[in-house]
Amino acid sequence: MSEYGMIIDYKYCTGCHTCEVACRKEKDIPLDEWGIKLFEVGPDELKGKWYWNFIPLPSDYCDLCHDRIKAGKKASCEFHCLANCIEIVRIEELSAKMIEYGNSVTCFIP
Amino acid sequence: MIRDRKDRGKNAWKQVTWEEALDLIEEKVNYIKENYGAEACFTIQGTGREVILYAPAYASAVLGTPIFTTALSGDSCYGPRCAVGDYQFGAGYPELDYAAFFPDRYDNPQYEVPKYILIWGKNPIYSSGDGFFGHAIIDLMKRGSKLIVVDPRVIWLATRADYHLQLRPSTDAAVALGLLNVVISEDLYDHDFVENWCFGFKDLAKRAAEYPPERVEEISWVPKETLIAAARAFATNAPSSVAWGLALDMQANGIQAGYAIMSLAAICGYIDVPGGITLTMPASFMGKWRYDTFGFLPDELKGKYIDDPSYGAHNAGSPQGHQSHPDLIVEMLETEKPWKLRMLWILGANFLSAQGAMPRRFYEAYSKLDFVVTQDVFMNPTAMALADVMLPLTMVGEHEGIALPHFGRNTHLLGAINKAVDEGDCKSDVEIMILAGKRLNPDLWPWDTPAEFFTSQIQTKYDWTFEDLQNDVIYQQEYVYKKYEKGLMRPDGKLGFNTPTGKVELKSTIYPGWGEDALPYFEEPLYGPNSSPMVMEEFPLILTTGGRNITFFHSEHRQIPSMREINPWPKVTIHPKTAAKYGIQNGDWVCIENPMGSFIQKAKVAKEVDPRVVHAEHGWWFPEQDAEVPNLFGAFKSNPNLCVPQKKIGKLGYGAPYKGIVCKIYKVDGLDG
Amino acid sequence: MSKTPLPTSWKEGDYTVTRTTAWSAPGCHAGCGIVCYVKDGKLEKVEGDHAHPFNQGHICPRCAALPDVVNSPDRLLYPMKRDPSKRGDPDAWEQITWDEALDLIYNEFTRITNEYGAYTLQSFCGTGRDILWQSQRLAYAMGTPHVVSYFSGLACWMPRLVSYNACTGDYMMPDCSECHEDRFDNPTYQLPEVIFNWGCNPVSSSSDGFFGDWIVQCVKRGSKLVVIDPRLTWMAARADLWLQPRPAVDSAIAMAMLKVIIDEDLYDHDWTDRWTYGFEALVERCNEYDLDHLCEVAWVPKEKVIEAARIFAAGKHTCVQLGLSFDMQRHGIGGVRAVIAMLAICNDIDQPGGQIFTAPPYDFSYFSWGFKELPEEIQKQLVGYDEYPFIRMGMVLDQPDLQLVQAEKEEPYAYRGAIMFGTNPMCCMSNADLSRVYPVIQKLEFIAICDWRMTPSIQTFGDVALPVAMNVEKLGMIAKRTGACAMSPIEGLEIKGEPKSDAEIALLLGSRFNKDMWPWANTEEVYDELVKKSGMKWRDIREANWLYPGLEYRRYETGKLRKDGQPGFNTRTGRLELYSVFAESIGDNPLPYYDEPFYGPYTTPELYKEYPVITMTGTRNIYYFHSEHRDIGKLREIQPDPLAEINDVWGKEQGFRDGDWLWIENHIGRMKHRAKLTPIIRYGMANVNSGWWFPEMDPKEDPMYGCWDVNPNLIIEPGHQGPTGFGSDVKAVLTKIYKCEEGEY
Repeated sequence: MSEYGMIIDYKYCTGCHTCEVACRKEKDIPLDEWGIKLFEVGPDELKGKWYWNFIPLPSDYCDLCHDRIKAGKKASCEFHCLANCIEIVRIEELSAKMIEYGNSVTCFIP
Repeated sequence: MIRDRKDRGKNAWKQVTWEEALDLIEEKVNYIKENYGAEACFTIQGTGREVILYAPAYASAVLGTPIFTTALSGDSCYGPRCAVGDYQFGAGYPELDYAAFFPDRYDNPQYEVPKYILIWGKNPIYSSGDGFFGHAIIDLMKRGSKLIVVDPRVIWLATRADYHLQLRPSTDAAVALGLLNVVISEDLYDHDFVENWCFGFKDLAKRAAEYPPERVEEISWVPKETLIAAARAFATNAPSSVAWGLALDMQANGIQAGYAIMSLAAICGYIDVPGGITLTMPASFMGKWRYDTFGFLPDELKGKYIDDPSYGAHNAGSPQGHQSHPDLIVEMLETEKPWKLRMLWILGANFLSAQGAMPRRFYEAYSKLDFVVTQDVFMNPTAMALADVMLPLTMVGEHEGIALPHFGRNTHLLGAINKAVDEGDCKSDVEIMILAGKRLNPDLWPWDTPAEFFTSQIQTKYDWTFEDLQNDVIYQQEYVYKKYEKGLMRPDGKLGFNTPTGKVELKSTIYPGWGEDALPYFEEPLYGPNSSPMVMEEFPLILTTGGRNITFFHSEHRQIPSMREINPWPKVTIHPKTAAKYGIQNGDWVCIENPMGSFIQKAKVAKEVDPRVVHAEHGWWFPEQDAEVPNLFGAFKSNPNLCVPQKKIGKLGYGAPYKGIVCKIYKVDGLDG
Repeated sequence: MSKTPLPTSWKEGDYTVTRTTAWSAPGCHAGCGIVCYVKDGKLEKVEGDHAHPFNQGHICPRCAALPDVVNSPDRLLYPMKRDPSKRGDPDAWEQITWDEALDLIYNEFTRITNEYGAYTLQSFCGTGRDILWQSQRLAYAMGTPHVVSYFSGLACWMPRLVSYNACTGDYMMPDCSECHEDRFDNPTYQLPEVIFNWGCNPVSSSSDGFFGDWIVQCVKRGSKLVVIDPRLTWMAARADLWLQPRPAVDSAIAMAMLKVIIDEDLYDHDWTDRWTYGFEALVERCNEYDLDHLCEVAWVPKEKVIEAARIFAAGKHTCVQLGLSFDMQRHGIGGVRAVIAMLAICNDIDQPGGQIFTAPPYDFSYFSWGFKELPEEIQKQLVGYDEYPFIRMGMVLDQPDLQLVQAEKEEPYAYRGAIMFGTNPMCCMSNADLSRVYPVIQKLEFIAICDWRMTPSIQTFGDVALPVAMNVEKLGMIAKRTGACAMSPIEGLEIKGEPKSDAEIALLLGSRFNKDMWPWANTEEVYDELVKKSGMKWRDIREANWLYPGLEYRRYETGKLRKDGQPGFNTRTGRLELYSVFAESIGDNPLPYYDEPFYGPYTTPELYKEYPVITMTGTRNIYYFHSEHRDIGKLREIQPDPLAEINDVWGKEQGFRDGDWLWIENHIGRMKHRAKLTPIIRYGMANVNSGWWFPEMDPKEDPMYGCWDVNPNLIIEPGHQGPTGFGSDVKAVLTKIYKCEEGEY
């Protein structure tokens, strides 16, 4: 079981793809594969309001940048995320942290 | 690389040494200057590269010509907004206060988070335009800022906004006047600021009264309820602020719109206050060795820049100095009047793919030049089509340089570009400028290295050197709020603003001198349901262009696999209802056509646009395709500028309809029709 | 046997709530427990029944949308008739009373009987609805043996059923704890170490009474999963091993694995010696095959086949969920037998977590109920009676491929009239080449069709339409091999119009034709009769809500598998027959075997050159049951169009793009679908849907509601059924694919 988990505060994910490219560089992933992939839902009008979300989903390549974390750095996607909407925390802190983030939050455990 | 003039458009480049290339440039330029005068030479600059800081110097101090220009019709980028800043506030570019001046950013005790941010004609998340760091909006949202978005598209920020004013493209002035109408008629403005620091409020109020929400709804499609609610939210939640964008530059009526928007911010009391709109005096830092180099020209040449006296805002000591007018330069090339232009130095511009409206006309006109030099990091359609000499540039990280957000007009930091890699045989724009300057105009170029040059420029204002900047990486200048109360907005040290009246000019004392209305007004775009109903019978959709992909900078990055993979093809966004009407499915190739021309992009069927509007991406060419003329990397296949007219610009010389034209659409089999 | 704890019905706020089972109409192969909420006489919502052991509260989107189906404005509410000369005219229908309708049917069939003989009448039955014994016993009461589906090779379930029966004496299924009330907590239960999911996608189909999620539950708890499927299914993507064979040669893979298990000596010698019959013959049969050749023709690397065989044998208990694909190949029976042999010699039969014998909790032998009451000369008119002795077993349906030729040639006689239950042959089932089936049906003099809404079949050739009651509106019963329950109209529901259950229609008509065969006053009495041997009544079962059959393991040791109480299996030899004596006795191949499909790269290489795309069909979408649910907006929205899955790389090479309309053509016809480019199938292959029609179309323009062109049954050639009369290469059609021209879509 991973020591860490990734929180994605997707209400702020702007769909910039930086995580994809940063991950590709960090893990040297060829173009026909992917380390983290952005999914897009919307825009659609729900309950008279616009709904448009991007959510990055890590693949089996993802080890939450284990080596970087062990070296005291942030994971590549987390570090470069323009919207600062990815955070990697110790797994036992996941739920408390997610509560802090409030709504529209999801998490990933490798 | 050099190429014989008769081989333009062919992949017939010959590699030469720097010495050989510079020898050739020296010989050709001197020949032209001797036989036809320096005014037969000129430069064209693009945007977003360091070289725009040096392009005027390349003209005035290297070539010795008064003519430097861009390829963008109506100089429809930044200049129009700067003009509003200049003439209305007597200051540099008015920018949203996102605590950029403070090293401790949002934690600075002086700083306040704006309650509402009015994001107008801008998608900063993807564009980070003009030196504004786009994702600062996210920082502010997380800290409580709410959004009002004015955009014809449902941009992502619009889905997070309290109010989205989804207007018909290029009706911004009407919407701005409508907001003023509500704020003034409901008495929601800052009386104290208006009385003490604004000029012409009563006249503005009278003008705004002509734009009740009902009328604005008719013009702009923005429901009056939304308009009224947004106006109230903006005016009654101090401090609030504005992040205004390129869309205002890219319409003939744009200066009027910007004028009205800034008037709105002013009467609400949001100018130069924490969490409001920041203003600085223009031309700090490197501003010196830019437009000032114009002064080195002999007097008989100073009047020979190309502009129309009626383009008052553009030529009367405009924010862009004595920049020659791009639309007039095209005509000059075509007519060879008042004289024939012969030599061009292209600086960071691929104007056949971006910038140039009616790019085929550009191709024809610019092909007439005797001698064309360009410098770039990749081969591109413009270089392939037109250049005789192509100089290879180093990238960021491969040379020494400086970065200057907002080009000196609201500059919160000066950054050092430090060299990380040594890139053999390429040179930076600054290195080339010094080398060429030493050959062509040695008196003005005493420096041997870029570092010496930078230090001398820095020391026109500060006592430290470029090496100091390299060590610190950035230098931030101090920011003081409410400078108009402290005598810091005017060179003479008096209180108030650096305008003829010393106040924020809600009614302009300058514009009437150029034959323009003193007050903002709305004028219908060239094409539209109210201005050209006949045209719209055949071309029933409104075409707006140029929304950014974060993976590309204008025409760059198409050859970078990790970027191209994310956005492999140019996309035209069509509402599902409209797509269904024309039998178009997501992913279909679609031809977009109007009387100017046509281009082809791939359909993205999405509700991001109104059913009456389509949006096309700009800057597309295909590095993987045949490089030579006529294909020219497919430069004329997907370029929306093929549908944008030349010289249909605003009264003051600024603003062309890049973002508000008309078109019809139909399905085609592929990129080649 | 035991009961579930909840009451049948209760009040919850404004709602009257009833627990029941979602069967049928609409159609389904499962027997999920649902809880129905009625307000003001209207079914408002449906939830899963968490106390129901079959689905444990989970439901698929079709039951979630059940209120929309029941309350559909398109329901048939009253009987209708139309003059047979006006078939296809949607304006020619006339509402009539039930008495008029039943009289009309009775009079027409009686006229035909008098003029041509009762055996010229047909009773069509579909699948997935509560219509099997109903359509059969009614046929027998009418005096005809013909229970009909023009379904080439009866390629659904029957091949697997008869194979299991021939070797083990009963039907078998994987043990995912579904037969225990306390499921995984049952002390006798053990988790399968390995599950083979072979030729089916149960998470979408839940077919043959097997709820797909049961496998997922086991995998969650640690079972290893091996998937054998020409398509990368969701399960395949999560499997420990995935084999991607060429369609319709699963028997080659099965033979290859069996061969590896024997050659590498991976089997249980002791169990094989004690409990199986014919091992030496089996070894000999395996020796006839070359492993390299089997793998080569199956298009699966040998290493993967060997790995699969080793995983199979290594599992302490391994079980196999065998799918429809085995039925939909001409020689699938040979493959099913090979799988049974593997299960047997690896000691997985009747073991916890292995392959288990299950039976409904009461004796409920509703197949061909009353067939034996027909005079023998009528029985013998069952199509295939002489040619295919297997046909007389199990469901006792006419052999469709032979029947089609009979009907076309009118030899020995023409068919004259039909009644149809739970079938929409314009869209489904008629895979013995729809372009041949259609005229054969159309020339019938009189056709009555029972359904819950207007269908392309009723609109195209129905003369009488009888409105059928939905699952929540009727009295009925369902007997699954994992349990059973009964249903009655849910509390508080105001039924619109006059729909009747298929059972009631059969009873009303049957008692008109033959009072002796249908002596009962109502359907409850019919069901009482059906469960009589168990000493129960229908009401007992309704009140029980769910009856578990209970499950004991290793019953071959305790004598509980045989009627005579002796240890062993319910076969002639008493052993598990690797060599089926029964099959031999009726002239069928007694051993597992592999053979090629009728058309294929190896059998018809010339045809393959012209039609190089192997096209599969019939993959299930969970949001549709065969041709149903296309009119339910919530479901249709998920997939609005018939889709042809095309390998993405190949498709791009062909210039296809998502959404393009494509023609899929073979040597007998063509049909069209919209392209969906996807990597889930092999390069150069395609997979098309089935059952499509467009309820939104105006029947005045097309009484078939657009079903014709999109129907893969236009490219399936009948007459190539397997040697037993069962099995047909439905899922491996040689085709070529090209874009539709403008105006063709």
